[in-house]
Amino acid sequence: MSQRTGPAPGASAGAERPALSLFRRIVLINGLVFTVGTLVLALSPATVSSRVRLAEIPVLTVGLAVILAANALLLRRSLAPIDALTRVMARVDLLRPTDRLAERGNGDLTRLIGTFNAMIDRLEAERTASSAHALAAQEGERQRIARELHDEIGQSLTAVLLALKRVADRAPDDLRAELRGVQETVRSSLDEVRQVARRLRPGVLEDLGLQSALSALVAEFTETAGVPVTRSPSRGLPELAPDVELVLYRIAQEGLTNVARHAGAGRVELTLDASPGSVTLVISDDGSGGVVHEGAGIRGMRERALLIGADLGITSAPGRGTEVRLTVPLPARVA
Amino acid sequence: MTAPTRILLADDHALVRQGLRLILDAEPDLVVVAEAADGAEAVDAAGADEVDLAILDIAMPRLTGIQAAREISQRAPRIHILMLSMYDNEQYFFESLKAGASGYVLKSVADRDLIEACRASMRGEPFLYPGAVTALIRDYLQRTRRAPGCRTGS
Ligand SMILES: Nc1ncnc2c1ncn2[C@@H]1O[C@H](COP(=O)(O)OP(=O)(O)O)[C@@H](O)[C@H]1O
Ligand SMILES: [Mg+2]
Repeated sequence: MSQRTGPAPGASAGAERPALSLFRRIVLINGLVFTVGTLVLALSPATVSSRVRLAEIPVLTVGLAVILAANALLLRRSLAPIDALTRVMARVDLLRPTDRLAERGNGDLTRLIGTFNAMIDRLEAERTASSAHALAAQEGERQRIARELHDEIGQSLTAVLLALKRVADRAPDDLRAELRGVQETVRSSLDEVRQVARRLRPGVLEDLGLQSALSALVAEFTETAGVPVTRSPSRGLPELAPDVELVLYRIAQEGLTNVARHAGAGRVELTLDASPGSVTLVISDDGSGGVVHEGAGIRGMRERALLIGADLGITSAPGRGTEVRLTVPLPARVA
Repeated sequence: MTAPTRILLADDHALVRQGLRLILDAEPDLVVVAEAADGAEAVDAAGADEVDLAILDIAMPRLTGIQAAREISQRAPRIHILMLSMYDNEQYFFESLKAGASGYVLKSVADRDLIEACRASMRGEPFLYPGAVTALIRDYLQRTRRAPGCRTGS
């Protein structure tokens, strides 16, 4: 990032500062208008008496009005791009690739627009880099916690369970029933630990790949939400990079979580398909639809999509269900 | 009485291994003859040709349990293999079957089920956890529905 913090290309050394040139432009316009006014006064037969006569006042007023109007018109034309700039500024959302303002119009503002566009480019790059950093840190931490839960607490609980069995087998009858109760408690703690670990980090993704991880996700969703998921088989799916797989998995996970929490759907469809040059993940439901405000979940999806240069589209008309579509461009490759 | 089943026990967690060993050794027809702390050790120990049954934890360093199972069933197809796992995940279960295991025991019920699984395995019968049976049926139905009349193998 450090190499990007220098002056923007538009503001190269020797270029004038926009404020200064804008100031010059306004002075110039005003000067022009005043000069024309003065010339009119000097060269036309119109004169003003030393004590202004009543009849001259309308003429003066009209002259002033013409001067003001000309001034206003010229200034307005000159400053119009600032409006456009303001509109773009209000609209900018770093989570969506923005439209840029065309660098045309009069000379000095072009530079301002250019600088603004460069700033947006820089902010987008920085935003992507820092959310990549944050997400990587988050995934790393989740992985560490999941592994510790699994490998430390999970295994210790297993060891306890095994030891308890030995004790229970040799215990007198009156104690045995109680020990069985303890065994069941330990067993359910072990199940809980396992579930938490799995939600934190899909071990199956690393071990068995995306397809299996998605199957596992779908199976768990159907079980907990009680909504059937149609999972169309993916054909011709190319080998994907681990970070792409993780993004696809996390977006499917958030998409399904949203369906369970908000949609009230009767059916869900999850497809992952490859076409030349891209891979598309679609999660669609037949629920309530009508997503208006985007919360942390959807923002998270957008951030993750940006990380791998993918495009995330959400179609959600009220009453017509919701469709989340992620299109991941693939680098051209000789197979 | 026939000779007890000779067992190779592989788990990277020493306490779990010890707990399993105590339970297995308590049975007259089972005896643990070798222990391994990772998948590669397990493959080596299985080569020594004095093992009837290998119990492999799925998640182990160096070689995972599934990789070790694949190696062992290639090198010594005579050895029965039981997978031991934290995950009641059908994908691991399917992979284990592909790698040559005949049984899949969840760690959370190992104290209850392991002995029975060992015996079933030695009788040449599969041992599955309840969810695995459901998964198998669902998978079978999906395959027949998707491709009527032909079998999809991979
Ligand atoms: N599949 C869906 N069906 C209906 N509404 C949805 C769906 N997904 C999201 N929404 C709506 O969009 C909002 C924002 O979702 P999200 O950003 O994931 O935040 P959260 O789930 O934490 O509320 C939700 O509060 C919900 O109203
Ligand atoms: Mg959400």
